Amino acid sequence: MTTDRSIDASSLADRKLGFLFREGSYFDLGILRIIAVATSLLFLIFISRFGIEGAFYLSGDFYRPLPALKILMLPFGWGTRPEPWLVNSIYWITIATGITALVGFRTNISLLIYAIGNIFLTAFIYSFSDLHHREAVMAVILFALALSPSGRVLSVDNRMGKGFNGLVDSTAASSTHSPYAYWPILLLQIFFALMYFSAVVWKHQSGLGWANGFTLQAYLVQDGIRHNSPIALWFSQFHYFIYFVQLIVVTFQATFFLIIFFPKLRWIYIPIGLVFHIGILLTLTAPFYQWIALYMGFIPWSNLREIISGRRKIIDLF
Amino acid sequence: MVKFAVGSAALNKIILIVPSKNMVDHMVMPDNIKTILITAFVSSITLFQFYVSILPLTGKPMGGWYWPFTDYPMYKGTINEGDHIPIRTIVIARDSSGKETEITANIVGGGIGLFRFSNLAKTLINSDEEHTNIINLLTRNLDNRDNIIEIDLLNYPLVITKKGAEEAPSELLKRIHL
Repeated sequence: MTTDRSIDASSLADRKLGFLFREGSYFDLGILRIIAVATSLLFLIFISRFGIEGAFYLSGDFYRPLPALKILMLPFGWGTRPEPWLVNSIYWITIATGITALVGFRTNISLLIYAIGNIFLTAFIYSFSDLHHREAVMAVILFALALSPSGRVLSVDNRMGKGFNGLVDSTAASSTHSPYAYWPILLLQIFFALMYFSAVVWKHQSGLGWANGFTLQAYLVQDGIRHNSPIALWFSQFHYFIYFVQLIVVTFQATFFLIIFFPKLRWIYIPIGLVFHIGILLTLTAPFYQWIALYMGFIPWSNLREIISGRRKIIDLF
Repeated sequence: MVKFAVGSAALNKIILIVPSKNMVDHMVMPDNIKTILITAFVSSITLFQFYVSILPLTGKPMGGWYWPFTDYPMYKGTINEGDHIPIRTIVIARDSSGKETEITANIVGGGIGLFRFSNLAKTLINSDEEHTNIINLLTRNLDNRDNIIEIDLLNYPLVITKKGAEEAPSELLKRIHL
């Protein structure tokens, strides 16, 4: 990109920008943007809508607004319950900006509004005494994408010659890579590592006996009956297999942070993680769709594209 | 286009450009400021999420209150061989003629859902207060709601073994006279 800017093009390379600002591919970041926005949009349209409608009918006894909702409702008063017209308005604005963020039109501002709308709507649903954990990482990553050059490629902005955004990117970046294109992907890895770390902490809060086979057997039985899952009930019979699975789960969650420092380990952790989350979806009916989708953000799509085009060998991935 | 040279000679390498039109399209933030802001953003998220993650060790977990910064306690409880595992709480409404009706989340309806229903039942079990509003909510869709004289809350447990689960007798957790 040629402009009249006087930033020294070599200064970024010379400067030690550290762990957070290693060179990242715009393509990888664009793919993450598309995956994150598409997944969250589908959720908003086909699942969250029902939660929102249900919340409208709940009495004030259920209303315990989360701090996130209170902050966003400040113009209307601290702790005020949003009226249906307001929630519906925010819903449709969020959907609209989600679509523009997905196609990459005015990408960063679209993403910012979409991220805020997403937080508002999810916090609204969760302010009625029923909170879940699957949307949290998506809420954080959408914000990160809004603050990064995620619309540099794979976007209408790029097609219109407006893919570069000087507020979130560097003029010293190349047309394919930037020191500001990697940090959202790194943050995604960090957040996953912390989520798994929290899970390990809870599992061992009262000792090291969680991975004993019986624990997961019990949950398979419990959720198998609750959610009418024959596969869960069938699996619950195999004590030693489940014992082995629990050991794998604990080891996986406790060591996931290693992919932050040794990226090539992702080729071990991504398949295990996908099997883990798809497995609990099929057996325990634990619907962590957002996590499954965001796992795709760990894959180096730009490298895979080069392998397919013959510019790189597959062994280079490892 | 207007250019400003900022600060000392070292900072003169970083120039803030303020164009006369299409301002947003051409605005550039100096790299050092971007770096600082992004570092602060990532560090804040990391530190707060880490803090929430280790709070269970102090015995005072935040739970989901600071969503999206939350802990992840799903499937945390340790269960050993022979333990009774609660499958669900059964809520039975009994009227003056002795007719019993099991109340489920579907019967209550109105967006209650499985988890809120369980929480309502736990509130009735664990609290000594009357909670008339909860009882009215649970019985609102029953045809005989005006004749309900008792609400029983039962546990439906199974015993866990190496071969899976075996039935255990249900236990009456609480009987509420109306």
